Amino acid sequence: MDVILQMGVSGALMGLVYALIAYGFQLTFATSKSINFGQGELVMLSAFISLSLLNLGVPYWLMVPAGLLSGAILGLLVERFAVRLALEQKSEGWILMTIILGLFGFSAAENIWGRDDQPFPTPISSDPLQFFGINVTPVELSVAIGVLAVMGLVELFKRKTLWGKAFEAVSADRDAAELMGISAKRTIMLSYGLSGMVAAMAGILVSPITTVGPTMASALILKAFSVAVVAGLESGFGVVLIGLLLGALESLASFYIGSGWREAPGLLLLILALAMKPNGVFGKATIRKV
Amino acid sequence: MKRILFVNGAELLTLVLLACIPLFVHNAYALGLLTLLAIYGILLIGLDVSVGYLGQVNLAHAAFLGLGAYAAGLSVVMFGSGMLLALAISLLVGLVFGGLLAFPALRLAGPQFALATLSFSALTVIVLNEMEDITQGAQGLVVNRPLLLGLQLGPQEFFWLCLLLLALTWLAMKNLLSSQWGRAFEALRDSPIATDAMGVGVLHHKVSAFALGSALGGLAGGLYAFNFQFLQPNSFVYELMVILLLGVVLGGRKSLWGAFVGACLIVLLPNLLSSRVLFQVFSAIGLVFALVAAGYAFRATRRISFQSAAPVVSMGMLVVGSLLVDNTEDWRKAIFALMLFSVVVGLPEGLMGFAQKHLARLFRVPARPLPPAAALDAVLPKHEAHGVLLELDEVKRHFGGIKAVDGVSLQVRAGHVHGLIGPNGSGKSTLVNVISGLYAPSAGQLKLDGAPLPKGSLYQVAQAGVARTFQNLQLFAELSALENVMVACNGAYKKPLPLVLLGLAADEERKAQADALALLELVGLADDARTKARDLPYGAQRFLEIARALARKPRLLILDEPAAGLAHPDVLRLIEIVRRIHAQGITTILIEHHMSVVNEVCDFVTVLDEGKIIAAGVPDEVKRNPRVIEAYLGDSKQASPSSRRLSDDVLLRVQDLHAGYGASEVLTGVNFEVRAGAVVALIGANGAGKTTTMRVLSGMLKASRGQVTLAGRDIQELPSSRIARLGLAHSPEGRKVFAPLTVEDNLLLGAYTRLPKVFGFAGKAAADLERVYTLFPRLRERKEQAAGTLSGGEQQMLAIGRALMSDPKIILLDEPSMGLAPVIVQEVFVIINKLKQAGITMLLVEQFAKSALEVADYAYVLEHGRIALEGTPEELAQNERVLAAYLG
Repeated sequence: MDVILQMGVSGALMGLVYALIAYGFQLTFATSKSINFGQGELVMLSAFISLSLLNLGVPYWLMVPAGLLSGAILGLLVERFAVRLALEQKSEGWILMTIILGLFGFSAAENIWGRDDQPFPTPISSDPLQFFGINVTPVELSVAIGVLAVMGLVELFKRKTLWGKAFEAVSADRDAAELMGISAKRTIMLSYGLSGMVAAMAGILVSPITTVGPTMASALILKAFSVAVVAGLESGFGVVLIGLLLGALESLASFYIGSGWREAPGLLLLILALAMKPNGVFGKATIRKV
Repeated sequence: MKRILFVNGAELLTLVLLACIPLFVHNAYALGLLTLLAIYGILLIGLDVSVGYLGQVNLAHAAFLGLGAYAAGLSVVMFGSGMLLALAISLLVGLVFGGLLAFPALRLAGPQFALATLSFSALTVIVLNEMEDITQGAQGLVVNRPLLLGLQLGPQEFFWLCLLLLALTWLAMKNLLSSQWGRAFEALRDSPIATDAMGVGVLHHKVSAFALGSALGGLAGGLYAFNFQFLQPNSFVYELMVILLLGVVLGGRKSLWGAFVGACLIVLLPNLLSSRVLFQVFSAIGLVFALVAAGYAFRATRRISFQSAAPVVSMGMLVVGSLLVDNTEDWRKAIFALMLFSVVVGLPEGLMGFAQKHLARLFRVPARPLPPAAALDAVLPKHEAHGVLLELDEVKRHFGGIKAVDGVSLQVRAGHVHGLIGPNGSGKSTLVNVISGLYAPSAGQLKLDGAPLPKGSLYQVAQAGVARTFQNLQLFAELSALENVMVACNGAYKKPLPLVLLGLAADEERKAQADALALLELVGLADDARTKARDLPYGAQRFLEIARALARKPRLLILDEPAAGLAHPDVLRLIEIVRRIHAQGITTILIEHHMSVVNEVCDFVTVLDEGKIIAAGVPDEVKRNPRVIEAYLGDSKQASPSSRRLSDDVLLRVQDLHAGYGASEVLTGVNFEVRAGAVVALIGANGAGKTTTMRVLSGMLKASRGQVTLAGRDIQELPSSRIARLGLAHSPEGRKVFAPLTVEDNLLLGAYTRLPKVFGFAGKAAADLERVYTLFPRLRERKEQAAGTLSGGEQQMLAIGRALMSDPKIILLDEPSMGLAPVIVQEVFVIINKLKQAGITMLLVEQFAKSALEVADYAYVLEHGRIALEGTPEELAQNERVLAAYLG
């Protein structure tokens, strides 16, 4: 019983990282109905950039905002080079284009930083603390706090600033937002910038646990996709819930069935959800129009 | 003859050449490449089915290759099966797993589909890796090439086997894709709704297509296993998938040759990368190509577009990289990415798509001649009709709280043309959407010829004998006019799939062509049979939809606003077409705004308003019915004599405005002006171009010609957000409030351009908010409520309030009364009057002409996209033509 609880809790904490990446998908989906299939590479590239900053002697707490900034810039690049043209043509070309851009980023990282995994130093200790008989390390806790803090800040931005409200307006009705003088194009850029920033945060938070390497995000991203689709691409609360659940599930699966099966529950959950609730558990059904 | 020479000749020649190479070149490496080419050829033809024909991003094809390979390998290792059996198993595995994945996944569109297939491939690799007892996991599985009918195949013979299978696949796909199956695949990509409505069935065609493509993937997998004779799960991961997509996209989608060229490229790519000089040469060629293309584009448009610049940059990066980097192999993925990027952006049709266009121009291969058209009476046998065909009993359809159709009972007599009319938002379209199965009714019964009509399924209703057209055209844009009709040909195709694959269904194909031609003749499009639907003029597209619906040989034909957007000569043609359909005895429901059409062709007319029937009878009777006139023109009060003195400043001037949607021109030269402080009404029947005018003014739609000036400044080229900032507020048709946001947030966003964006906006907006809340006390009460939960009238007030918040120079009010109960309409007009007293300039579009004339200082009447009449409200209220503009 204790083992199950222990595995569940540390899995769930990791699950929050999936939720954070999935949240990044929601941000861009809200404004443009598109998502970045190369988001994993964004997580990885921002982690590498942050690591390089640390190696250059930038102190940890200064590195964090710099890393977030780099993520936002990468997100803007994705919007410009992979998404904007396809959206203008009203095609789904962005799926392929973001995959291509991700591939380029991956290859660039391999050649610039090498193929090996590198440790990511952090001032936060990894000596476990005990809560009700369950071991939790401060690093794991920092992940949870970081994820919830970033999501909370973005939600606060969306609700309490006029820019944020404009963001919501574009996702509710793009044409009407344009009539209010809100530029949909700039709002989409903003959403990609935010999404990149969120990805960078995920990279910085998870790196101390997973180490940094070109492939660090390939497993993460698959599960983030699962979380995003299972929860639906609309509900921020939904991704947190599904993320926690999925994280716990996979940690239990790898313990009881075998470590190679780690990814399986997420993927199964995803295919099941698609078969039964294509718009996600927290998604809304759409009415067909002709 | 020429056709056989060029088309079939090229295929045969390539095949023979490939088959002969091993006889002259004795090089094991080259032979290996050729074998791989044949295998990848099959694989990519399979992938092209989903990526090209279905138009979906399929990321599972590498997994099907792996599944096929392991299935063939394991059947040999575990059961000692022979080559043929093993290959059959691999094909079957692809087919079954493809079908299983397709069922849930193909209900999804776009990103969700890509995600589902991506997850499936990840799951496949995990399973292959982890089921070590069977697959040997990551260690790899050794497979010895089994005997083919007792013969041991050497590398050369095995190559010939692969080539033979490629040729067979090619032939079968060619037959399939030129049959009704291939047409259905393309049809459902262009319009799934119309595919269902034509009784073709989206789901089972989609699943079949996907399963078929996956089966080819499985077959290629079997060959792959016997070629390499060693399998590892990690050969079938994401990276391979990207390479396969590269092949299809680079070669050209929807083309067998494209798949073949793509296969050549991905087989040769590793060799290209291994030699630095070769790579430099190729990337330089690519750069030159991109530069030439960019040069041409620049000469044509005088602008540097992303589409021409991006390939140059990425090819340039490739050239620079090839000079700088020591080991190109390390940068393999980045090189793929740059190449793919250039092709996807610069050459979206792929190499073969590009080449085919130019080859076709060079050789001009004539198309196969069409058979003579069949006799119309043979295609649409004349019916002697009696009694009631369609019967509706208390049919309702509600959307949330909105009662779009609220208890409609009517009977359509067999052989009649039954008109269905009513003002905008009266529920006509919803009603036919319920009849045709797009929506399930919330309550009520529908009977066709006494038997209950299936509910909520376009496909089943189509099968029951109902065919329809669509208000917003739903043609299969990439198919020719003839093919559009052939897709729908009912009962023309009976031959089973295997015969189609073998190419033995030519006779029924010609029969279908003859039938389809007869229907094209009926609508006057026989000469355009080969033209792609999207290249037809707008009117012809409308007629093509009618011909397509007729191909269903329907018992009941539903025409949903067939005259919308038609120019006058085309309207006359439409009347003629409907008459000829009537002469064949086909029962027709006609929804129409053009009263002239209704008067000419309808035997009987039902009038809807607010989801209920308000009148029924023969056309002449109905249009004199006072309730009908009121529904169209609004409550009949006196037009208020306006004695206001108007300012001389022209605030908004519209000159010679032309605009439309795609091929349809809605506005054909509109001229009018709005003076500062005045309320100007723009009235006219539905479809006259009122809302289109508003959309052009606020920049939501670009004008094709003409000029719009706001306070002396040209605005027709500016985007909406800029126009809004110049002081034009548009309260759009349908209100368009931001449903999930609160009332107050909606209002704040109305003032978006004038407020600080992060802090302090609430304080700065307080005075304006107060002004709006004073005008609309009800909005103050609900300021924390989500706008979507307001009633229709409250939403309209919010939309007006939101427009006021920007302190605009002019407000455009589009159909403020639409869909509102009469008492609420009056309330809205009281508000408009208050705004008028406050001196706010307004341009009011309104279908209730009388209400609009009550508040306006001046009014224009739009008819067929032009101003037909103008004057003061008193002048217009007396004018017979105003009524005529509405009711013919």
